Amino acid sequence: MNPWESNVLLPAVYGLYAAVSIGLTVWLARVLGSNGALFLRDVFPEKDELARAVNKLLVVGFYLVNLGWSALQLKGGRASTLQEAIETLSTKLGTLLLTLAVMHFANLLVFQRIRSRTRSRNQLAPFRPDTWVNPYAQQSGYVQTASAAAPSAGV
Amino acid sequence: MHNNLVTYRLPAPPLHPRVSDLTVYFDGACTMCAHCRTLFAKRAALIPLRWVDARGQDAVAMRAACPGLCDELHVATSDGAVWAGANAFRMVLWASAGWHTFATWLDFPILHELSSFFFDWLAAHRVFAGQLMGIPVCTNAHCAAKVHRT
Repeated sequence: MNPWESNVLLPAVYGLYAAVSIGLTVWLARVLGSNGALFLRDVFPEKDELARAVNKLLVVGFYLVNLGWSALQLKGGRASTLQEAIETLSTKLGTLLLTLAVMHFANLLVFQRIRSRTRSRNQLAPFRPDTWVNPYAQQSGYVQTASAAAPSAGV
Repeated sequence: MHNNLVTYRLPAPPLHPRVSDLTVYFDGACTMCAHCRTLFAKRAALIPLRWVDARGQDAVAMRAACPGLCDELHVATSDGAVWAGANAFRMVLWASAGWHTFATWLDFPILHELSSFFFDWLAAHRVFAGQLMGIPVCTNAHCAAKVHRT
């Protein structure tokens, strides 16, 4: 039987695809995990445990979605010849990479929106104040009094 | 015997203070102001807004601190930073969820001038603007008063 016929190369394509997709997913998850932690520490100040927990949950979700999608993409394609095998492999990997890119940027967008909503409080005012008043003037009923006299020092 | 006044040297206030909340002093007698207050109260606010009638009891001390409180829109932080007129209008936009980014653009030279012109015109022609927007015009003489800028 000619090894270059009847999709004989398909298992090899599958194996290569599985190895590359798993490796890519793990690497991307590590990048997301380590850099996402910085975003989350900003979102949850003084709550490191919560930031770490949310980060781990997001990474788990990332693994599930991407490995699941990679597994679904595995099936199919033609690999009767070496050329067909390479084309099938590149099509599968290309689709996977584009999907991972979309997911990656979607995650960044979500992080950024969460962060910008949190940072909007206690932000620096974009415009300089026109004047300053005693902060207690905004409490109703407060009337500013003159300075109290200091005790005289032996006149 | 003499009284010695103790002078404390306070640090200079920041040019751009941190804002965690804003108090908006508006003219409670003006239907236009009340309408705008209703519009902004319906929108989500990124910075919590507290609306206070500049002519009410809650603003007694603030009226003493800012003599022009009833003449123009004023916005103040709890630290004592105060914005008046067009600047106050821009700060209210900045505090609103939908107008936050747009308000930061109003710091650019041309947009800054345009927004100041728009607000000053609106404040000086509240009756006409109210009629355009379908807002019931207040009947007291105050609403017809022009805003005089010193």
